[in-house]
Amino acid sequence: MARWQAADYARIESVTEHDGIVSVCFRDGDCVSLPGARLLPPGAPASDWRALHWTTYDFSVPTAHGTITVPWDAVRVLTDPAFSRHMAEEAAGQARRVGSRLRALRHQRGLTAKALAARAGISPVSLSRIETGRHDVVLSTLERLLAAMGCSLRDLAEPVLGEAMGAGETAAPDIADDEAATVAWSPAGAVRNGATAPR
Amino acid sequence: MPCVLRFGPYSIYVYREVGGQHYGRHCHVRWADGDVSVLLPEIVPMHGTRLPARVLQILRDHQDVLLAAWQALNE
Repeated sequence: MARWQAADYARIESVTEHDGIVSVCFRDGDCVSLPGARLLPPGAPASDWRALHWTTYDFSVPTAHGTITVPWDAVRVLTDPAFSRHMAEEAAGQARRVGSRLRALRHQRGLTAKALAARAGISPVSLSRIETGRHDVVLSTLERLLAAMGCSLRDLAEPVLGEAMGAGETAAPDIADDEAATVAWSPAGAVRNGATAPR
Repeated sequence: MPCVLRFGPYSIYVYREVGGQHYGRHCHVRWADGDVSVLLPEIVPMHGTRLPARVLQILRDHQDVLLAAWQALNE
């Protein structure tokens, strides 16, 4: 089992900052340190590390433009080369699967690559790179491609055929069939630098 | 706190990626003592982890708001 499949790999034990260096200790015993600036968006305004706040899975620091929240995996990606490679492989795998799905949808509709590219307003070369997973398409282009085929992003979601199985063990609790979800976010809550608005 | 969705014991978070890295669109599915990353728009759990089918179905039903949150923060 890979290290990141153990629950404590993700769990934060403590976060401290000293002279711009942030130290994060995880419950599996790992402690890592890195410059705080690497954890913030480029150009993020001055942060007040004295007000650092952390939970089991992330930590937050206030800045002039709102609070920046950093999840556990962002720290792991920057400090664990094996996890970073794994994340890159996951992303590449998704790009390949999405590309294959787009190509299958295009074939189902009898469209040539040139015709679909023209409808979506992108070059045939770009479409080829997307369909072969060599280019991780931005969401707006993905939506244009799907719309040009009369499809939506829902056509890219994997069908739910039962419990998603894998090697890792997470005792995720089940829920009732009639459990309703509450949307807790709106675009107005996001600000330009990607932070959440201060409360 | 970038919480996008709540249901039952679950809260779903979307973060801005940091450090100039890009590792695919994903959200964090979190409950009292667990956190699983799920790829968007596929709704596929990462790291070989597992989630109940009903949880995956709710994520699928709210794919639009999860992607909108990702886009607002990252694209």
